[in-house]
Amino acid sequence: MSYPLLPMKLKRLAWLGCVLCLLAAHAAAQANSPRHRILIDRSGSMEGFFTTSQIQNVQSLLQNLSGAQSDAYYFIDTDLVPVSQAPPNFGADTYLRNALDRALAQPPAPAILWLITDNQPSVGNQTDSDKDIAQFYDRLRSDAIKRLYFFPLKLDFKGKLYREDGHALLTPNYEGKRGLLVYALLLDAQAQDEFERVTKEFQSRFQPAGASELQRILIKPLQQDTITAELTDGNKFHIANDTVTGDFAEGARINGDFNIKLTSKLGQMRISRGDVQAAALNFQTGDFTESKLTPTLDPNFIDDFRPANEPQKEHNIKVKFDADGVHIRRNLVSWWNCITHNRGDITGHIKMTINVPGQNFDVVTSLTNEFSTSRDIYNDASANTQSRIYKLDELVKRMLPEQQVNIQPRIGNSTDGLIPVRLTVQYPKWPAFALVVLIIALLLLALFAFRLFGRGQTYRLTWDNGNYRACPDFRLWPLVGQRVELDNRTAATIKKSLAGIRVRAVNGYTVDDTKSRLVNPGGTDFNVSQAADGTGLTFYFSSVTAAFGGGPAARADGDDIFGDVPYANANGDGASTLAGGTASAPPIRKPTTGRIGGSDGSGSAGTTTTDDNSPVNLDDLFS
Amino acid sequence: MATPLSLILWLWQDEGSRWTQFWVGETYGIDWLWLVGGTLFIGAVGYGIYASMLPSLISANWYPANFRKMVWALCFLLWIIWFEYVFWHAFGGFMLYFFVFVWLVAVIIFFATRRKPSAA
Repeated sequence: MSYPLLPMKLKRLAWLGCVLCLLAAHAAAQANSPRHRILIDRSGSMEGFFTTSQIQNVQSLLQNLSGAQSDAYYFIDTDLVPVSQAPPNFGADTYLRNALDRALAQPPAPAILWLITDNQPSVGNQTDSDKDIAQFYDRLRSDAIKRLYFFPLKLDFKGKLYREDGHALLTPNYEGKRGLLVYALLLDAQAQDEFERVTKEFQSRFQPAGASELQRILIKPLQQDTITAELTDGNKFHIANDTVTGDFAEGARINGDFNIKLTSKLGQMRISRGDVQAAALNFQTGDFTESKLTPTLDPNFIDDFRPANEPQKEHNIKVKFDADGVHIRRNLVSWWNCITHNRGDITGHIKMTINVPGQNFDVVTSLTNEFSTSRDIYNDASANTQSRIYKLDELVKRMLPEQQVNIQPRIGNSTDGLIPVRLTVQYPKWPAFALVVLIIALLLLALFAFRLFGRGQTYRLTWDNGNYRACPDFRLWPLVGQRVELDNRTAATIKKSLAGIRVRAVNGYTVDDTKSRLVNPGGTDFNVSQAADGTGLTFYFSSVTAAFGGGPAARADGDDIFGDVPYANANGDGASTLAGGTASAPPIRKPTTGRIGGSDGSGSAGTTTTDDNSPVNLDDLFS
Repeated sequence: MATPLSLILWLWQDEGSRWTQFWVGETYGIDWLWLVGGTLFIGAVGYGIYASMLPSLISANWYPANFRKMVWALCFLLWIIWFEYVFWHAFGGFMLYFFVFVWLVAVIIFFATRRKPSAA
């Protein structure tokens, strides 16, 4: 009875499982996303920004960008208060260092910290204010802050301005632009991608009314992503997908160059001079022998290197290569790659660094002029002073390194100063050619071997118009000849050679009036005669197969496309041949001219036999 | 004169179609190995066809030389197909047209020079 319920239960369990999986995945995603923390200065000097809703706009945008993993606090005097629990009143004093320390200590630890302030500490008097801000800057320089951007803003302000004690009024109703600074601090290096994303988004999306494009100024670190290198084609080296490419022949010198155009991404600093260095790194030569690829630079320095938003001179550097050619490695894998590919790769990187001594960094004046002021902001209520940020230039100077900075320029998407290099080298053609030749040579060798050893044809030598066989049917082996006797003397030998089957006359005899000639297994007549008086006999040599198939017709076709193919007469009467078939082999009779022994001129009697199984004459083996 | 010139230029230009493109591309060593292998295979197939069919064709009053030529033409045609399959990326249509032309000439010559078996 419970069986019908089982599918329903299973279905519910499956649903539950799915929901749990989704929740787990969501929770994992939540846990993995970096935590943002937004700190907002809620001291009395900031009240005018709240009145114009500028702070709320900044906060809202930052919370949108930060997502669910974010929390926002006001720092009021020495306390951190969640934004949702903000009291209606504003604080009296601003402690930037204290706010930063407390925000860092507040669990859960944030990966990215935003700090919104007018950068105007008010801790009792001017001296204490300077002391607080100096300590705050020291915190920013510490290793706890992995990366730091700031965004100087000029936002609408309507409200009171205070003196340095934070209580006494400078002016009761200031209305106009006032300087605000947004700090973006990366605390966890793992969250750098997210940090870059949100800071870029903030830069592009925050557009207060009447303001120019928001500046995102990198304060630290200066080692990475502060200079971009744009690669351009040169002689023999080309740029494809931010990779240096070149095509060279095997053994040819690898020489050529490409160009690098350097551009500053420092928004606030000028480099008076820096040395540019490049070194080959991790070059894999693959199927080729090693070659020392050492780049040289022309020029190898930069000077008066200004931010991109300032007029500047071109900083083009030519990177030259001049190295010996590479050669194919002598191993089977490399040779096989030569056959299957036309080109092999040499890949590696060029590590580029720009070394700038600390004293060669300068803060550019435009930043100071536009955003920074060191005037007595607590006693000067003019818009010219209030629209600037207190001691911003000092902040930048404090962040400048004291020692040499080795800047790794950004190349494409790479921020580590590595220029990918991919050289293609044409493989030599000879391995393919050699293999083809080797295959053909082996085939020819096999063909010759087959012709020499494999066929095992039986040959027949007849005389007297095919009426008699001069000897039993025989086979020809390399170096082993068949003697042709005339009047009981050896007059010639038949031997197989690479060129074919050859009849060679012994001393005192001729074969067709020469010393030797080739004969065709399809059937060849030849005359063996004494050199002295010309008396001799005509023999007919053929393979037994040809003799069986019909010698004359086969000879007629032997010079054609495939040649040497047995062929019967058109009437199909293969047995009716000139030489006779094996079924009716002519008798054996020793060839004679009739001058000895015989009386009828056709040879001696009593030597005729049909026995093909006579023992082998060992004298024939090396004759 | 202008028409043939424009035709030549039209054929010469790189159109991206291998059928009409007159352009010798890159060949790989392995291609030539495939060609050698294919040639041997086709040769073996041709020889096999010839050797196996010859006796029955002779009985049917064929002249062997004619049959050899026919098998030769068949093998050449197969070789052209194989060559184009291997080297299409390198030689394209024009080499095909050239080989087909040669093949046609060979076939015509074979046909014109065919032998007639004797009646007796």
